[in-house]
Amino acid sequence: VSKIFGIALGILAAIGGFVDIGDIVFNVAAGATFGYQLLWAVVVGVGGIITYAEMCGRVAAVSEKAVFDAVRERLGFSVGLVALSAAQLVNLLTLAAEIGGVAIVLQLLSGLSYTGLLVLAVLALGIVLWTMPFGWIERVFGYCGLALLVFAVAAIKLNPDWGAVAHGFIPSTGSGNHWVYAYFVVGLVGAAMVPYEVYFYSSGAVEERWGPKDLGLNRANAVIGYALGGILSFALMISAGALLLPKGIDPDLLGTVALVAESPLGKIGLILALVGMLFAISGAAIDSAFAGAYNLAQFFGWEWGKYRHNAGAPRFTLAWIVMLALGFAIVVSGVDPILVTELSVIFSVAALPLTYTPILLVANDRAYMGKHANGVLGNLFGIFYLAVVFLIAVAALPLLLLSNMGQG
Amino acid sequence: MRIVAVLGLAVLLMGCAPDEPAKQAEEIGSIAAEGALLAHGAAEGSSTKIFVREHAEALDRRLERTRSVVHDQRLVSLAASVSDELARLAEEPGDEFTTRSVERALERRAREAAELAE
Repeated sequence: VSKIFGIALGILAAIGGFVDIGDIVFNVAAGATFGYQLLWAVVVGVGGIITYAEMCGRVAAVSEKAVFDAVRERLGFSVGLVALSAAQLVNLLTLAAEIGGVAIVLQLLSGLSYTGLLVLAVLALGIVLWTMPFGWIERVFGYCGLALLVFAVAAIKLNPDWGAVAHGFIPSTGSGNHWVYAYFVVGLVGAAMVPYEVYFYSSGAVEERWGPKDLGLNRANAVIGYALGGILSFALMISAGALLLPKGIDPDLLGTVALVAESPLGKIGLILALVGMLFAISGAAIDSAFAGAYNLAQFFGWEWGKYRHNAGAPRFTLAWIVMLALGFAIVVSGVDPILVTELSVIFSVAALPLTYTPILLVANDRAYMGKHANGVLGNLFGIFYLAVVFLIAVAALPLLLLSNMGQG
Repeated sequence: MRIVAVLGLAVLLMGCAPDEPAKQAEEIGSIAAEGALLAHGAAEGSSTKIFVREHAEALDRRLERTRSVVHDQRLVSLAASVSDELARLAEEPGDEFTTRSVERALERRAREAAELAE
């Protein structure tokens, strides 16, 4: 019973931790621009993150190797260094966006000055990173992020055209501006498959000392947790499509997202939406700061891991402190966090092949994985999603320009 | 280096407000419609004063970016009127009479903007 309870808690944390600022921005903007037409793209993205999270969790559990161990081994130092640089740039942009997002949500809750709240946000994140054990960080932010389920209630309360919603799950070329539509497809798939999630997930498996006996837990967390987490993305898009699209509202602010819950559910909807966003975005900020430190430490062979405590892995600790400081420096310069979010998602798409290719290679290597290497089904999904990742990586930057960043 | 260059270009693209009058009208209409929705929640007592004030100010700042590039006199006047209403909403987020009046005014502005965008 306690094992099932543990799995259920892990799944809950995975659901609550699924959504980050990139998912929030792209799903709401897609709903407000194209209604429910792009729900299928979320399904594609969620399928991709399930496939590769399960794979890298399995690799970590069996071989005790996290993603950047595999990158260094499989791509060599020079190509690996390119992968590391790309990953760190994307991690940093993501972290900056998340820190800015935390400050904006705090401002909507408190009315205090944005700059002061940026300082408060980065200090609070630093204290959490310094003091909280790994398992606690994952659970506290995951559980509190579940408040975002308010958007599922909002979506139902807004009474959307369920026939149109069902139709949105069927892939289509969409109506309206095709460049913008394609840009949102890339953004939605990219936001769901954002690389820091697999860096963090695989390093977390090593942190929690997973072994082959935990492969069931890994599969449950990845498959059930991420699949149910996808419900949050659907809810955001459906509620935006039902409320914002008919009114011609283009969501460019995080406050607009909260308004989507406030409008049908009142004050309680507003508060739950803001609290859910606060914890989901804070949790993602912590994940991306850690992901940056994990990548560096694994690539250069430093001691790493929260379980070693701060003094036990000094270069790892310094790495996440520097990540936080750089993320803060970017947003305190005055750049719009929503703009940084969009850029971080699109640039992360361009870097996806360098993350996912080595995972697939190692997961197929029987020398490491023995009987736990990929089976036929794993490879079928793995190769399909690798093709998707290459396709959207090639398309991402041209679409960014051709669609005028989704503005048409 | 290419990534940095594209990043810079993208920032410039995104940092710019829309330069076509129809797009500018759409942008002003979007802000007006959102302001009306915000004012509706305030009037119904289904929002918090802090949220209404902060979000109204954020909408006004977003409008300011568009106002800085608008040349069409009808749009200039429309944007100024929307900005005034958002300022009223931010000043009196808890006053039902004001918020109802702002809601009605912003709904009218949103309709006018939609007509100008066509």
